Amino acid sequence: MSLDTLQKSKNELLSDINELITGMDMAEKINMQLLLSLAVGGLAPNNNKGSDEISENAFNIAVELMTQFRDAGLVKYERPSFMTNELLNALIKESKEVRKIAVRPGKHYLSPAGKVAEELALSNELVQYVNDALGYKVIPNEISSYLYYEEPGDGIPAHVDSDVFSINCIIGLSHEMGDHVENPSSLVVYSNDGKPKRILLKPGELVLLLAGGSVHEREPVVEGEKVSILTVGLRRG
Amino acid sequence: MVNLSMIINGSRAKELESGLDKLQAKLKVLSDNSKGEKKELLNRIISTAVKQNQETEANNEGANHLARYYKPMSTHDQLKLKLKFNDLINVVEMPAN
Repeated sequence: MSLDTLQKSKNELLSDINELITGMDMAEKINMQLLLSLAVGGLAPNNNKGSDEISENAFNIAVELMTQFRDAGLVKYERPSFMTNELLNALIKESKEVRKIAVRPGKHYLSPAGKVAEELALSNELVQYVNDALGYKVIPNEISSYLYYEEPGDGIPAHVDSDVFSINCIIGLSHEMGDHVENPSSLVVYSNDGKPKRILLKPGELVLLLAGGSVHEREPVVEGEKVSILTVGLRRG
Repeated sequence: MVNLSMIINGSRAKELESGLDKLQAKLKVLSDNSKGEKKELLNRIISTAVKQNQETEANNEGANHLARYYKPMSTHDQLKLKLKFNDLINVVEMPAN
Protein backbone atom coordinates (compact mmCIF):
# COMPACT_ATOMS: atom_id res chain seq x y z
CA MET A 1 0.00 0.00 0.00
CA SER A 2 1.64 3.27 -1.05
CA LEU A 3 0.82 6.59 0.55
CA ASP A 4 0.11 8.11 -2.86
CA THR A 5 -2.51 5.54 -3.81
CA LEU A 6 -4.08 5.67 -0.35
CA GLN A 7 -4.30 9.45 -0.55
CA LYS A 8 -5.88 9.17 -3.99
CA SER A 9 -8.41 6.61 -2.74
CA LYS A 10 -9.17 8.84 0.25
CA ASN A 11 -9.79 11.87 -1.96
CA GLU A 12 -11.99 9.88 -4.33
CA LEU A 13 -14.10 8.51 -1.49
CA LEU A 14 -14.45 11.95 0.09
CA SER A 15 -15.62 13.36 -3.21
CA ASP A 16 -18.09 10.50 -3.79
CA ILE A 17 -19.62 10.71 -0.30
CA ASN A 18 -19.82 14.50 -0.50
CA GLU A 19 -21.78 14.11 -3.73
CA LEU A 20 -24.03 11.54 -2.07
CA ILE A 21 -24.71 13.86 0.86
CA THR A 22 -25.63 16.71 -1.47
CA GLY A 23 -28.44 14.58 -2.92
CA MET A 24 -29.77 13.29 0.40
CA ASP A 25 -33.03 14.28 2.06
CA MET A 26 -33.11 15.33 5.70
CA ALA A 27 -33.76 11.87 7.17
CA GLU A 28 -30.88 10.40 5.18
CA LYS A 29 -28.59 13.20 6.33
CA ILE A 30 -29.47 12.60 9.98
CA ASN A 31 -28.70 8.91 9.60
CA MET A 32 -25.47 9.65 7.72
CA GLN A 33 -24.39 12.02 10.44
CA LEU A 34 -25.16 9.42 13.11
CA LEU A 35 -23.21 6.81 11.15
CA LEU A 36 -20.18 9.11 10.95
CA SER A 37 -20.48 10.10 14.61
CA LEU A 38 -20.46 6.43 15.64
CA ALA A 39 -17.58 5.71 13.29
CA VAL A 40 -15.31 8.43 14.69
CA GLY A 41 -15.97 7.04 18.18
CA GLY A 42 -14.41 3.75 17.17
CA LEU A 43 -11.75 5.09 14.83
CA ALA A 44 -10.32 7.90 17.00
CA PRO A 45 -6.72 7.18 17.99
CA ASN A 46 -7.56 7.10 21.73
CA ASN A 47 -10.15 4.36 21.21
CA ASN A 48 -8.28 2.45 18.53
CA LYS A 49 -4.87 1.38 19.78
CA GLY A 50 -2.78 -0.32 17.13
CA SER A 51 -4.63 1.61 14.45
CA ASP A 52 -3.58 0.95 10.83
CA GLU A 53 -3.38 3.33 7.89
CA ILE A 54 -6.86 2.44 6.70
CA SER A 55 -8.36 3.30 10.10
CA GLU A 56 -6.36 6.53 10.36
CA ASN A 57 -7.53 7.67 6.93
CA ALA A 58 -11.09 6.47 7.53
CA PHE A 59 -11.12 8.60 10.71
CA ASN A 60 -9.88 11.65 8.79
CA ILE A 61 -12.55 11.16 6.12
CA ALA A 62 -15.32 10.88 8.73
CA VAL A 63 -14.09 13.98 10.59
CA GLU A 64 -13.97 16.03 7.40
CA LEU A 65 -17.41 14.86 6.28
CA MET A 66 -18.91 15.99 9.59
CA THR A 67 -18.41 19.58 8.51
CA GLN A 68 -20.91 19.02 5.68
CA PHE A 69 -23.73 18.88 8.21
CA ARG A 70 -23.04 21.69 10.64
CA ASP A 71 -20.53 24.47 11.28
CA ALA A 72 -17.34 23.33 12.97
CA GLY A 73 -14.55 25.00 14.88
CA LEU A 74 -12.92 25.72 18.20
CA VAL A 75 -13.86 29.38 18.64
CA LYS A 76 -12.64 30.32 22.14
CA TYR A 77 -10.54 28.82 24.89
CA GLU A 78 -10.04 31.19 27.81
CA ARG A 79 -11.40 32.34 31.13
CA PRO A 80 -13.99 34.96 30.14
CA SER A 81 -14.25 38.20 32.09
CA PHE A 82 -17.77 37.41 33.29
CA MET A 83 -16.44 34.30 35.07
CA THR A 84 -15.73 35.97 38.40
CA ASN A 85 -14.45 33.96 41.38
CA GLU A 86 -17.85 34.47 42.99
CA LEU A 87 -19.69 32.97 40.00
CA LEU A 88 -17.20 30.12 39.68
CA ASN A 89 -17.53 29.23 43.36
CA ALA A 90 -21.33 29.30 43.09
CA LEU A 91 -21.23 26.95 40.09
CA ILE A 92 -18.86 24.56 41.87
CA LYS A 93 -21.08 24.58 44.96
CA GLU A 94 -24.17 23.91 42.86
CA SER A 95 -22.46 21.12 40.90
CA LYS A 96 -21.74 19.35 44.19
CA GLU A 97 -25.33 19.75 45.36
CA VAL A 98 -26.96 18.39 42.19
CA ARG A 99 -24.42 15.57 41.96
CA LYS A 100 -26.70 13.74 44.42
CA ILE A 101 -29.40 13.41 41.74
CA ALA A 102 -27.05 12.52 38.88
CA VAL A 103 -27.90 9.77 36.42
CA ARG A 104 -25.37 7.61 34.57
CA PRO A 105 -26.24 7.60 30.87
CA GLY A 106 -22.86 6.19 29.85
CA LYS A 107 -19.35 6.36 31.23
CA HIS A 108 -20.07 9.54 33.15
CA TYR A 109 -22.59 11.03 35.54
CA LEU A 110 -24.97 13.79 34.48
CA SER A 111 -27.12 16.24 36.44
CA PRO A 112 -29.41 18.94 35.08
CA ALA A 113 -28.34 22.50 35.74
CA GLY A 114 -29.55 24.19 38.90
CA LYS A 115 -30.55 27.81 39.38
CA VAL A 116 -27.03 29.24 39.17
CA ALA A 117 -26.13 27.49 35.93
CA GLU A 118 -29.53 28.23 34.40
CA GLU A 119 -29.15 31.93 35.17
CA LEU A 120 -25.70 31.91 33.60
CA ALA A 121 -26.99 30.10 30.49
CA LEU A 122 -29.68 32.75 29.98
CA SER A 123 -27.55 35.73 30.98
CA ASN A 124 -26.85 38.66 28.69
CA GLU A 125 -23.14 38.31 29.51
CA LEU A 126 -22.87 34.77 28.18
CA VAL A 127 -25.14 35.28 25.16
CA GLN A 128 -23.36 38.51 24.19
CA TYR A 129 -19.98 36.82 24.65
CA VAL A 130 -20.98 34.05 22.22
CA ASN A 131 -22.62 36.54 19.81
CA ASP A 132 -19.41 38.55 19.66
CA ALA A 133 -17.21 35.49 19.25
CA LEU A 134 -19.27 34.01 16.42
CA GLY A 135 -20.33 37.23 14.73
CA TYR A 136 -23.99 36.26 14.66
CA LYS A 137 -26.87 36.08 17.13
CA VAL A 138 -27.41 33.00 19.25
CA ILE A 139 -30.26 31.80 21.45
CA PRO A 140 -29.83 29.74 24.62
CA ASN A 141 -31.44 26.31 24.36
CA GLU A 142 -32.22 26.40 28.08
CA ILE A 143 -30.55 23.02 28.44
CA SER A 144 -27.40 22.89 30.53
CA SER A 145 -25.86 19.93 32.29
CA TYR A 146 -23.18 19.18 34.83
CA LEU A 147 -21.03 16.24 33.78
CA TYR A 148 -18.86 14.25 36.19
CA TYR A 149 -16.10 11.83 35.24
CA GLU A 150 -15.30 9.98 38.44
CA GLU A 151 -14.74 6.28 37.94
CA PRO A 152 -11.63 4.89 36.24
CA GLY A 153 -12.34 4.79 32.50
CA ASP A 154 -15.07 7.44 32.63
CA GLY A 155 -15.06 9.60 29.50
CA ILE A 156 -16.90 10.09 26.22
CA PRO A 157 -15.48 8.71 22.97
CA ALA A 158 -15.07 10.98 19.94
CA HIS A 159 -18.43 12.28 18.73
CA VAL A 160 -20.29 15.36 17.57
CA ASP A 161 -23.16 16.88 19.51
CA SER A 162 -26.79 17.04 18.41
CA ASP A 163 -28.65 20.26 17.66
CA VAL A 164 -29.24 21.09 21.32
CA PHE A 165 -25.50 21.49 21.87
CA SER A 166 -24.44 22.42 18.34
CA ILE A 167 -23.03 25.61 19.88
CA ASN A 168 -21.56 24.44 23.15
CA CYS A 169 -19.93 26.32 26.02
CA ILE A 170 -17.90 23.82 28.00
CA ILE A 171 -16.79 25.22 31.34
CA GLY A 172 -14.20 23.58 33.58
CA LEU A 173 -15.20 23.35 37.26
CA SER A 174 -12.83 20.96 38.96
CA HIS A 175 -10.07 18.50 38.20
CA GLU A 176 -8.81 16.45 41.13
CA MET A 177 -5.89 14.11 40.68
CA GLY A 178 -3.04 12.69 42.65
CA ASP A 179 0.63 13.07 41.82
CA HIS A 180 0.57 9.66 40.14
CA VAL A 181 -1.48 10.93 37.18
CA GLU A 182 1.01 11.46 34.35
CA ASN A 183 -1.42 12.27 31.54
CA PRO A 184 -4.49 13.96 32.96
CA SER A 185 -7.79 13.48 31.15
CA SER A 186 -8.29 16.27 28.63
CA LEU A 187 -11.00 17.53 26.36
CA VAL A 188 -9.76 16.70 22.85
CA VAL A 189 -11.00 18.69 19.86
CA TYR A 190 -10.15 17.46 16.37
CA SER A 191 -9.57 19.91 13.55
CA ASN A 192 -11.30 19.31 10.22
CA ASP A 193 -8.27 17.38 8.99
CA GLY A 194 -8.30 15.11 12.05
CA LYS A 195 -5.49 16.70 14.08
CA PRO A 196 -6.16 16.54 17.85
CA LYS A 197 -5.87 19.50 20.23
CA ARG A 198 -5.75 18.45 23.90
CA ILE A 199 -7.27 20.97 26.27
CA LEU A 200 -6.72 20.69 30.02
CA LEU A 201 -9.47 22.95 31.32
CA LYS A 202 -8.73 24.84 34.51
CA PRO A 203 -11.62 25.82 36.79
CA GLY A 204 -13.42 28.80 35.23
CA GLU A 205 -11.98 28.32 31.76
CA LEU A 206 -14.45 28.09 28.91
CA VAL A 207 -14.26 26.41 25.52
CA LEU A 208 -16.68 27.71 22.92
CA LEU A 209 -17.04 24.91 20.42
CA LEU A 210 -19.17 24.48 17.31
CA ALA A 211 -19.78 21.02 18.63
CA GLY A 212 -22.36 19.93 16.07
CA GLY A 213 -19.63 19.72 13.44
CA SER A 214 -16.40 19.48 15.45
CA VAL A 215 -15.44 15.99 16.55
CA HIS A 216 -14.46 16.02 20.23
CA GLU A 217 -14.00 13.63 23.12
CA ARG A 218 -13.30 13.44 26.86
CA GLU A 219 -10.28 11.27 27.51
CA PRO A 220 -10.86 8.57 30.16
CA VAL A 221 -9.95 9.45 33.73
CA VAL A 222 -7.76 7.10 35.76
CA GLU A 223 -7.96 5.86 39.36
CA GLY A 224 -7.98 8.82 41.73
CA GLU A 225 -8.83 11.36 39.03
CA LYS A 226 -12.12 13.28 39.02
CA VAL A 227 -13.33 15.91 36.56
CA SER A 228 -16.47 18.03 36.59
CA ILE A 229 -17.65 20.43 33.91
CA LEU A 230 -20.70 22.46 32.97
CA THR A 231 -21.97 22.32 29.40
CA VAL A 232 -24.35 24.99 28.06
CA GLY A 233 -26.17 24.54 24.76
CA LEU A 234 -27.02 27.38 22.38
CA ARG A 235 -28.20 27.64 18.80
CA ARG A 236 -28.03 30.12 15.97
CA GLY A 237 -30.74 32.80 16.32
CA MET B 1 -25.31 23.89 6.20
CA VAL B 2 -28.53 22.00 6.79
CA ASN B 3 -30.96 22.49 9.61
CA LEU B 4 -31.21 19.05 11.13
CA SER B 5 -33.54 20.30 13.87
CA MET B 6 -36.47 20.05 11.44
CA ILE B 7 -36.72 16.37 12.15
CA ILE B 8 -34.85 16.24 15.45
CA ASN B 9 -37.63 18.23 17.11
CA GLY B 10 -40.49 16.18 15.73
CA SER B 11 -41.84 12.72 16.28
CA ARG B 12 -40.39 10.99 13.27
CA ALA B 13 -39.31 7.42 13.81
CA LYS B 14 -40.80 6.35 10.47
CA GLU B 15 -39.06 9.15 8.60
CA LEU B 16 -35.72 8.20 10.13
CA GLU B 17 -36.33 4.55 9.41
CA SER B 18 -37.06 5.20 5.74
CA GLY B 19 -34.03 7.51 5.61
CA LEU B 20 -31.91 4.67 6.93
CA ASP B 21 -33.20 2.33 4.21
CA LYS B 22 -32.42 4.86 1.49
CA LEU B 23 -29.00 5.58 2.95
CA GLN B 24 -28.18 1.90 3.11
CA ALA B 25 -29.15 1.44 -0.54
CA LYS B 26 -26.97 4.37 -1.63
CA LEU B 27 -23.98 3.19 0.39
CA LYS B 28 -24.39 -0.29 -1.06
CA VAL B 29 -24.16 1.10 -4.59
CA LEU B 30 -21.11 3.14 -3.64
CA SER B 31 -19.45 0.11 -2.04
CA ASP B 32 -20.25 -2.12 -5.02
CA ASN B 33 -18.79 0.45 -7.39
CA SER B 34 -15.62 0.89 -5.31
CA LYS B 35 -12.60 -1.32 -5.18
CA GLY B 36 -9.22 -1.62 -3.50
CA GLU B 37 -8.33 0.87 -0.78
CA LYS B 38 -11.33 3.06 -1.54
CA LYS B 39 -13.64 0.15 -0.77
CA GLU B 40 -11.59 -0.72 2.33
CA LEU B 41 -11.91 2.85 3.62
CA LEU B 42 -15.67 2.96 3.09
CA ASN B 43 -16.15 -0.46 4.63
CA ARG B 44 -14.01 0.46 7.64
CA ILE B 45 -16.19 3.54 8.32
CA ILE B 46 -19.44 1.57 8.06
CA SER B 47 -18.32 -1.51 9.98
CA THR B 48 -16.85 0.62 12.79
CA ALA B 49 -20.12 2.57 13.09
CA VAL B 50 -22.13 -0.64 13.33
CA LYS B 51 -19.71 -2.09 15.89
CA GLN B 52 -19.98 1.06 18.02
CA ASN B 53 -23.76 0.90 17.80
CA GLN B 54 -23.73 -2.70 18.96
CA GLU B 55 -21.34 -1.92 21.81
CA THR B 56 -23.42 0.94 23.19
CA GLU B 57 -26.51 -1.26 22.89
CA ALA B 58 -24.80 -4.20 24.61
CA ASN B 59 -23.50 -2.00 27.41
CA ASN B 60 -26.90 -0.33 27.72
CA GLU B 61 -25.10 2.98 27.38
CA GLY B 62 -26.68 6.09 26.00
CA ALA B 63 -23.73 7.89 24.48
CA ASN B 64 -24.82 11.50 24.31
CA HIS B 65 -25.32 11.69 20.58
CA LEU B 66 -27.30 8.44 20.51
CA ALA B 67 -29.47 9.35 23.46
CA ARG B 68 -30.39 12.67 21.92
CA TYR B 69 -31.01 11.12 18.53
CA TYR B 70 -33.48 8.60 19.87
CA LYS B 71 -35.02 10.69 22.64
CA PRO B 72 -38.19 11.90 20.89
CA MET B 73 -39.26 8.33 20.09
CA SER B 74 -41.15 5.64 21.97
CA THR B 75 -39.08 2.85 23.50
CA HIS B 76 -40.41 0.46 20.87
CA ASP B 77 -39.39 2.75 18.00
CA GLN B 78 -35.97 3.35 19.57
CA LEU B 79 -35.29 -0.36 19.83
CA LYS B 80 -36.52 -1.01 16.30
CA LEU B 81 -34.33 1.69 14.80
CA LYS B 82 -31.28 0.71 16.86
CA LEU B 83 -31.53 -2.86 15.64
CA LYS B 84 -32.18 -1.71 12.09
CA PHE B 85 -29.04 0.42 12.16
CA ASN B 86 -27.06 -2.78 12.49
CA ASP B 87 -28.38 -3.82 9.05
CA LEU B 88 -25.90 -1.35 7.59
CA ILE B 89 -23.35 -4.10 7.97
CA ASN B 90 -25.01 -5.68 4.93
CA VAL B 91 -23.41 -2.94 2.88
CA VAL B 92 -19.94 -4.24 3.59
CA GLU B 93 -20.43 -7.99 4.02
CA MET B 94 -19.42 -10.00 1.00
CA PRO B 95 -21.94 -12.49 -0.38
CA ALA B 96 -21.41 -16.11 0.65
CA ASN B 97 -20.44 -17.13 -2.85
